[in-house]
This record gives sequence, structure tokens and C-alpha cells, in this order.
Amino acid sequence: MSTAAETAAQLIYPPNIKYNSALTSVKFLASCFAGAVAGILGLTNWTGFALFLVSTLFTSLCINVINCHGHPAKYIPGGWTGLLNPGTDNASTFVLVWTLFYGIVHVY
Amino acid sequence: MLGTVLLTFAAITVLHAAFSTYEHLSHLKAMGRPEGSLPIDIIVEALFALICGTLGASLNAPPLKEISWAAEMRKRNIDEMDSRLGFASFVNRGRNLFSGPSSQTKLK
Repeated sequence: MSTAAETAAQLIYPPNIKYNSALTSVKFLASCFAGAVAGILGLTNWTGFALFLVSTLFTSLCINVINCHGHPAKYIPGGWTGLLNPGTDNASTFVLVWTLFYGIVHVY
Repeated sequence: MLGTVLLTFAAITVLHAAFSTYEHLSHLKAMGRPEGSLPIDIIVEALFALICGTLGASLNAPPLKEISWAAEMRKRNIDEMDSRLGFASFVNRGRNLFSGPSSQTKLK
């Protein structure tokens, strides 16, 4: 007999999951903008990561309202936990753009 | 289209805020004053660019598709997905094709 995990996986249609991966570009762009703003404002240390956290929450809210129309479980495999995830390597994207803008604006 | 417009506008606003900050800091360095906090309008401009950028990225994404099999089956016929060829019945067709010439042959 199939396990509960296999049964749950059989109810999902994989080509549509692949199609919905357009959301990764939304999260990537949002973390780029957050990094730019953190660098421009000269944030350092924990305040910068606080901005990243706020930006992640705001991005999740935007995706929930605009793209998922209020029902994240219908479009994202993890439900609302998949929604809150900032995305693969987007924390390092944030730090990269943060250091870039901080260096250009404040140091050079 | 609105998403692209918002993204472009946010990118320009970020660059403008970055240049304004650079100019402000250069001004402070030239005057010899110690570096204080940024003017409030630059902070507001940077945060506004972050909000616009996130909204633009979210609007730019294509409409998502639902990921469950039930949702996909609403758009398709069961015969497209599971035709069950082993159970297809050709009896009626054979009766009409090979019954020889007769005055009232109806094709079903």
C-alpha cells in the first residue's frame, strides 16, 4: 500500500508546479531591492537583516494577495510555509546587493 | 504591463536615492561635519522604491496555475487522460461495416 506521503503526492499535478516557479523571480527581485535599500540607508549589522525580514514578510503578503488571491495552498506546494520562504540563496543575494550599494554610496 | 512600469520606476527611484545619498554625504564631508543621519525624504524615497519594486515584481509574474489534479481535470476530459483502450468496444462499428449492403444501414 502507498504511504500517506505518496498518496498526497499523487494528488498533485507536477507540470503546474513547474509553471508556478515564476514566483522565484519575484522573490529574487524583492531581495535585490531590499539589499539596495539597506545599502543606501547605510544599515549595518542586525538592522540590515531586520530590513530583510520585513521585506520577506512584505513580499509574502504581496504574493499572497496579488498572485495567489488569498489561497496559497492552491498554488504553492508548501502552503503558507512555502509562501514565507525567502527563496533559495536569496539571503546571500540580499547581502551581495547590500554590500555593493553600501560600498558605492558610503565608502567610495 | 503595470508590473514592468512599476519595476522600472522602482529601479530609477533606487538609483536616484543612491545618488542623493552620495551627494549628501559628499556635502557633509566637504563641510567637515561629522556624519549624521540621512534626510527623511531620502529614507522615504528608498522605502517607497522598495515597496514599488516588490509590487511590480509580483504584478510582473504570469497568472499561476492550480497544482492539484482535481483542478487540472476541470479543464480536461477524462478520455484525454485515461482512455482505457483495453476496455474500448468496437462491436457496433464492426456490425455496421461488415453487415453487407442493406437498404437501411445506420452508422452510429
